[in-house]
Amino acid sequence: MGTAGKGNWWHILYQSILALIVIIVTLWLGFEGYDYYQTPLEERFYHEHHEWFKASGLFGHGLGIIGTALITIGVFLYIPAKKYGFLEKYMRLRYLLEFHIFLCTLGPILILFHTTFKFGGIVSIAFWSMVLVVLSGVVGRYIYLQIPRSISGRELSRQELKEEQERSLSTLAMVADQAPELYQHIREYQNDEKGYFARRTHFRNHFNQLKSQLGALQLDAKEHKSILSNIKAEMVLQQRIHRLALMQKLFKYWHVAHRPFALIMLLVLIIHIGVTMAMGYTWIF
Amino acid sequence: MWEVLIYGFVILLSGAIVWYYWSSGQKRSKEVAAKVEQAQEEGRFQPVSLHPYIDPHKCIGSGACVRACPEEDILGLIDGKGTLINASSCIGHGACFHACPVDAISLRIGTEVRGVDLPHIKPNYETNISGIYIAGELGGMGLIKNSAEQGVQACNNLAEELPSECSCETDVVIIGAGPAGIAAALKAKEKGLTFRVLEQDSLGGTVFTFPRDKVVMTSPMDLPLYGKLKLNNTSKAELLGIWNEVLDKHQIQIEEHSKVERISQIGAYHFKLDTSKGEAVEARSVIIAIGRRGTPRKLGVPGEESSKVAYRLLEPEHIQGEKVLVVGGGDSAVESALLLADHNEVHLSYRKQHFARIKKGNQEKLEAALASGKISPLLGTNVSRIEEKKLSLVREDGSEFEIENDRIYIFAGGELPIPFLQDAGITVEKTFGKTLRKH
Repeated sequence: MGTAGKGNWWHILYQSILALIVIIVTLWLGFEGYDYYQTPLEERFYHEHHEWFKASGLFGHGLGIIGTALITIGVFLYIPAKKYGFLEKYMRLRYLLEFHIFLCTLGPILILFHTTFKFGGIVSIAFWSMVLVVLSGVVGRYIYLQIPRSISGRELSRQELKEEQERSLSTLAMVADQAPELYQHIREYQNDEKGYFARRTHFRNHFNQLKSQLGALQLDAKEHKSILSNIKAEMVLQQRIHRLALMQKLFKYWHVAHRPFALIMLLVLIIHIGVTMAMGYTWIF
Repeated sequence: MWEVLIYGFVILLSGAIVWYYWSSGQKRSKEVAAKVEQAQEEGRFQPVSLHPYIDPHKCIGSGACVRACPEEDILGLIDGKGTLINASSCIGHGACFHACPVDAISLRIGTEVRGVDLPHIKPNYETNISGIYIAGELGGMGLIKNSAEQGVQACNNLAEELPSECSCETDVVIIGAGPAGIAAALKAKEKGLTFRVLEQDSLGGTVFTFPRDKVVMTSPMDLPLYGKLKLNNTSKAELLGIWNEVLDKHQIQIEEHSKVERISQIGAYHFKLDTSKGEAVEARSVIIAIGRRGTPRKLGVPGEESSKVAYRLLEPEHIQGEKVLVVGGGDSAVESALLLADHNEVHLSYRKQHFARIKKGNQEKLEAALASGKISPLLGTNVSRIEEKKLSLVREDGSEFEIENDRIYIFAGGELPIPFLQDAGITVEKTFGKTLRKH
């Protein structure tokens, strides 16, 4: 059972088209206005296309309006559909979420070009809220969910390295009396309950200690290097696992940034639009 | 100065929104966690049949599954992750499975700690005995659409496998007239097979025992000889109307109240089915579509065969002004007694002295109904005789007494059809957390 193969291909095509639109639009906008956007702020007024690209210009203003429209549609299509299921007869929520991600990625990109990379004034609160919303969305939908897989993948690699260490140390035990001491030292580090930041500072000292202990065994250079690199690789992996666990703890709260800041962004946006219209900027209307 | 004021105001506003979101989220999480704890205490946390499994590594806490579930408090969110609450009340609609925007939900049967007996079925719905097929909820996957599709596919596969030479007049006997059995019968008709449909109770199947009157199906299904069928908040009565219409139109007869007691294999693709009516039906193949509800457990008392005895309550609104006895101490008995209490004189007989393991809501409603006299309790009693206008009951001390009675509803649990399958030679395995449907 499960999704049919044909359905999967249509889905992949759907996702690819959406991703392609975002990439093409971003590249086109960057290419079109490259010269203007890289001009220093104080000199832009004298740029030959200033009236076209500036935030209140025909092009720049249009980008802002279209970008805002895309975000608004993206938000007000997905949230009610998710909460009340009113579109479930026509479209699966999964596709709608992907469409929400598409509109709310493309919209902010258009708004970024609308700002002409000039961030200031009260409206910058809306801009940075938007950035926070987009980033937290990426974290919540992709990165946070990926962490457990990365952790288990690294745990597996670490396990392999630990087994390698066991083998090396049991071989060492046959030739050197001090090996059990070294082994004990490594175990202590592995079972260390310190937090991520404390472990980070502890790492180098510990490694150096192990290095000198290993040096005292007077092994041949090749064996010495191999054991040392194994210990280092295992310790680095352990550090990475701790880092991922820390990220997992932090990223768990992605929605605390995503949802409230979307509201803040929309509130400031309404003020921004109101002020703009009051000042007579009506674009083509 | 103005800038400071404006920025200050916006920062305060932002802080207030984040704080409100955070605290209300925490409050909701705590409420759900308390419900989970209560469900664990009351033994309702472990699912008994088909249920959703939420992959915590995929769940983004959208809450779409909670909204989609037609029942209450089966699913909830704790700290932005979906969780099961009263999982034992899940009846396997599967609406959550379709609603999840990130495909984090799969449908499973059994859990790591609670095994469920499932017959072994090949991908073509055939059992380990060539010629016997299983479709619908009995195979693990319920839901109207899935059951009907399985009935159709089982019949299709069977039509291809049946050898041409056989002395039997009947190509296939379909046991059960729920969605799977009806769809199989329609397919058999379409394929030009000779068939009989035997149903131990009456047309409809497990779906009529669902706690809600409305039947919801998220996507349409193709019914042979009918076309697309879409049930969007359709009442059970309307669904029965649809079944009757399509069966009448194609002159398909359902032999109701004809329970198959035993299936015996006479030879290859040759079976004999003994029914409760004393008939022996021979057929080349069998489709078992009897669901997992099983046979209602009987009291085994004189008079139980009377027409006033029922084992399920279908249309409580039609029962008015009668003296009714409800037997049982579980949720089904209590809910039925409550449904009948407003317009009837209701007695509730339970063999124990206390109602245990019933939903908290039912407990509260029952206590109120008992306090107001709407329901008269007969605790520590057992029915000993059923007569036309009265009933005899026996107390724990052995003393007997009579009450006037027009109707009796018995909810003494059900006997799963597993021994029936094993008797027919079908392999049944205990399954622990088997995934039956995933994206």
